[in-house]
Amino acid sequence: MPRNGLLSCALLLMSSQPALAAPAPKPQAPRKSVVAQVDTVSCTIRSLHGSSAPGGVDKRLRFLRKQLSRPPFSAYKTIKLLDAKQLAVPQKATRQIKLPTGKILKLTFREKLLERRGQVRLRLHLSITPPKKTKFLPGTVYTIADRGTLLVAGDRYKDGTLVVGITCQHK
Amino acid sequence: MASRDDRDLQRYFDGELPARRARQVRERIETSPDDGGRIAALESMQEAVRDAASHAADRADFDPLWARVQRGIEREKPLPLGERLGYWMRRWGVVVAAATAVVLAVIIVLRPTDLPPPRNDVVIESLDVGPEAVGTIFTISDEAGDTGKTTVIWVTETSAEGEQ
Repeated sequence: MPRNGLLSCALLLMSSQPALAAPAPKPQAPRKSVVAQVDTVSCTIRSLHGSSAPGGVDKRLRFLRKQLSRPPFSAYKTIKLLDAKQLAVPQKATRQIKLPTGKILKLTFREKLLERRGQVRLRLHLSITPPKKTKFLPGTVYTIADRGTLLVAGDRYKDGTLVVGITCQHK
Repeated sequence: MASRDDRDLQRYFDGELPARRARQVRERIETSPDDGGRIAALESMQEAVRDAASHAADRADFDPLWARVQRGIEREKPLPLGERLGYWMRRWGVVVAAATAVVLAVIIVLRPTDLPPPRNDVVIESLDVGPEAVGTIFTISDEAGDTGKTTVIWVTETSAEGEQ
């Protein structure tokens, strides 16, 4: 037998040893049919427009009225709700919407965190960028109390500033 | 007029004599045929009365009586709400008050000792802003004061390209 043939046989024998020595597989317990429950957050993305035109704070933003009446937002004479879009974001998934500025807001639900007394916090990844670009806000990771609101502002829009409110609630 | 012995005999029959006197009367009955005969007569009379009453009760028809009682109950007007409340308050008021006090005490003892986390409480773990942009993180106190703060990420683009 040529030398290479001997080597091949030896290698084959060595590789088969573990299989021969391995114990018989244990009988597996019947697998339960488990429906994977995917955590999901329901998010509301509000686009607010702050401008110097007189008008006051939009009545639909009553829940943010105190915050919007303090600096730096108090510099705007008008804060108007442009739109409010709903996003259902499953865990580990990313959903996106287009903002009035044309930028794309992407939201990823990373995980749900449980605090004392069962209070829920959410870890999210947010980005607001022009389409196919990495400008403005390529990414931020934050945790927030369930139903809490994060404000992202500074994007210039028309004669004022766009303020984006991200409110997420665990389902 | 009945003699004292007759009265004692009658009271003995009715079981009303003190023990000592009853023992004396019993001895007399056992030794005196007259007294024994009187007791036997009393027993016969009692049995006759009992039988007569029993037969009369068997023959009596109580249905009309119960029907009248039923009609009377139905004719009775329900008590006004105020009177009913007063009745229930008199009957159960103390119990209800005590139960309420216990529940309130439990709630007070078991209530959380610290406030829940602020509603808009945010922790920014990482922030990446684009080139030619500056990111600032600050908080605004809401009406709850220090316990409730809303976090703001303010991104300022330094280039004119940021304008839409």
